[in-house]
Amino acid sequence: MVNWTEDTTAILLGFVIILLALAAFLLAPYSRVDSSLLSAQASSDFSVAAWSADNDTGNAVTAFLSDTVNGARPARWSVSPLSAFSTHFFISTLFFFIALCVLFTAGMVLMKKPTAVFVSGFIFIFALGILAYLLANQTEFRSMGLGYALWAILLGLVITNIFGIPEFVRPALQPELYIKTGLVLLGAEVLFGKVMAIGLPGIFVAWIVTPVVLISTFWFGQKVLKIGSKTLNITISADMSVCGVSAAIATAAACKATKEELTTAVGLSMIFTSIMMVALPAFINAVGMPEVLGGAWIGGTIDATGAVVAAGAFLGDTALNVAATIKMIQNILIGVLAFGVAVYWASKVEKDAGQTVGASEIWLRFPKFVLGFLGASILFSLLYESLNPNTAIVLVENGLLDFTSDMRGWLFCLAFASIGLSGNFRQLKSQFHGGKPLILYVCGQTLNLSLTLLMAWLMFYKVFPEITNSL
Amino acid sequence: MKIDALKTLGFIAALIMLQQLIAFGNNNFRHLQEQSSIIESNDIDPSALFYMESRLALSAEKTVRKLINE
Repeated sequence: MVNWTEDTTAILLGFVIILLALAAFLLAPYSRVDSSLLSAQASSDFSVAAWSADNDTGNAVTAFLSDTVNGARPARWSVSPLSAFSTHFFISTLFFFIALCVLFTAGMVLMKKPTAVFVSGFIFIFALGILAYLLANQTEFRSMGLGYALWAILLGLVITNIFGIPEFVRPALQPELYIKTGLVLLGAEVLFGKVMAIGLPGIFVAWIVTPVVLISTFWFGQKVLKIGSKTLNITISADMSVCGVSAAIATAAACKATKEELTTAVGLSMIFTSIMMVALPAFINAVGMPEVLGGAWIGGTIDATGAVVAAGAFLGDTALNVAATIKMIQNILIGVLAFGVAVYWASKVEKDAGQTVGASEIWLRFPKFVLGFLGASILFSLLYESLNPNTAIVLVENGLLDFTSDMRGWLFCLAFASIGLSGNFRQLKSQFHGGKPLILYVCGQTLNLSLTLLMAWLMFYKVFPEITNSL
Repeated sequence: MKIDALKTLGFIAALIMLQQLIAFGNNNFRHLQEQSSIIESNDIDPSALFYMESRLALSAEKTVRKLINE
C-alpha cells in the first residue's frame, strides 16, 4: 500500500503529465514522422530544421495541448496591460485551469486532504500566477529579466503582508507539491547523453569547477561566516555554483529548507544574474578577452541558461555557442546534486551526535521526489538515445520537451505564488541578519569567477587548443 | 482580506515607476540598450531564470557539437 505523501503524489502527478505528453507528442505521430524522416534524410541537402518547417509533425491533440498551455499566458505588452488579453487567452486559460485543478484535486484526494476548499483557493493562486506572467511579459520588465518567479513571490508577499491573506486560499497553499511535481518534469529535460557528444574542455570547466566551488562555499559559510542554518548555506551555495533558481529549488527540496530560505537564495540569484548579465560581457569586451574564453567564462559563472545566452550574444556567435554549451553541461549536474544533498542530509546532517544511521533510516528520511526526478531523466535519456537522432530532435526536443518545460514553468509559478503568500517579511528579513547570505554569495561567486576563468583558459588554450581553433 | 485603495494605488504607482526607470535606462545607457535589442531580436526569454532549454540554447549546442565532431 503506497503512503501518499507530497513526494509520492508529486512523482505520480509528474509522471501523469509525462505519460500524457509521451502518448500525444511521441507515440501517436512516431511511425509517420520517423518513416518520413528516414526517407528525407537520405537526400544530401537534408536539414532537420528545414524539414520541420516544411512538415507538420503534430496532430489535433498536440496542437490543442500546446495551444492551451501557451495560450494561458498573457501576451507581451508595452503600455496597456489590456492588450495582453484576447479571446484565445480566455478560452485557453479556462481549459488549462480545469486541467490543473483536476490534477491537483486528485493529488489532494490521494493525500487525504480536503478538496472543496482547495478548489476555491486554487482559483486565487492560479489568478496570481497569471498576474505574475502578465508583469513578466511587459516590455521593460522583460528586458531586465524580471521574470514570473520574481513577480509571483513579490505579489504573494505584498498581498499577505500588506492586505492580509484570504482564509479560503490557505488550503491551496501547497508550494512543496507544485515544486516537486515541477522538478519531476525538469528531470525529463536533463538528458545525460548530451554530455558525451559535447567534448572534453567544457566538461572540465563545468564539472570540476562547479563541485569545487559548491563544497568550498558551503565550507566557507559553515566555518568562516558561521551561518546558523546549514540548509540556507547549501541552498545558496548550490544556487550560485550550479544553475541558479532550478538548482536552488532542487537543493532546498532535497535538504528540506524553509520557504524563507529558498526565497532568499532565489532573490540573491535573480539580483546577481541581472547584474552579471550586463557587467560580465562589458568587462570581457573592455579587456579584449578572446571570444571562446569569454564565452566559457560566462557559461560557467552566470546562473541561468536564458541569461547565459543573452550575455553570450553580446560577444558574438562563437562565444554564445560556447557559453550555452557549458551551461548545459553544468545543468546536468542538478540531478547528481539533488541526490547527493538528499543522501548527505539524511545520513549526516539530520542524525543525532554519536548516532549511526542505517540504510533503512536513510531511506525513510530520503526525499522520494528525487527518485522521480532521476527516473524521468534516465527514462528520457534512454528514449532519446534509442531514437533516430533526427526523430529525437523533431518529436522529443521540439515537441514533447517544449510542452513539459512550459508545464514546469507554470508549476514553479504556482509554487512561488504560494511561497510568497505564505511568506512573512519579518521572517525573510531575519534571513539577512548580519548580511551573511549576501557575503556568502559574493565570496562564492568571486571564487567561481576566478576558478572558471583559470580552468577555461587552461582547457581551451593549453590542453585542447585544437578544439578552440576549430570553433 | 481588506482591499485598501491607497495601498493598491501605491503598489501600482511603484510598478509604473520601476517600468519608467528601466525605460529611461534602456534609452540612455548603451549596454542596457544593446541588451534589450539582443533580447528582442533573438527572442530570448530573459524571464527564464530557471533551467530552461530555450530554442536558441539548443541550436547553439548543436553547432558546437557539429564543429567538434568535424
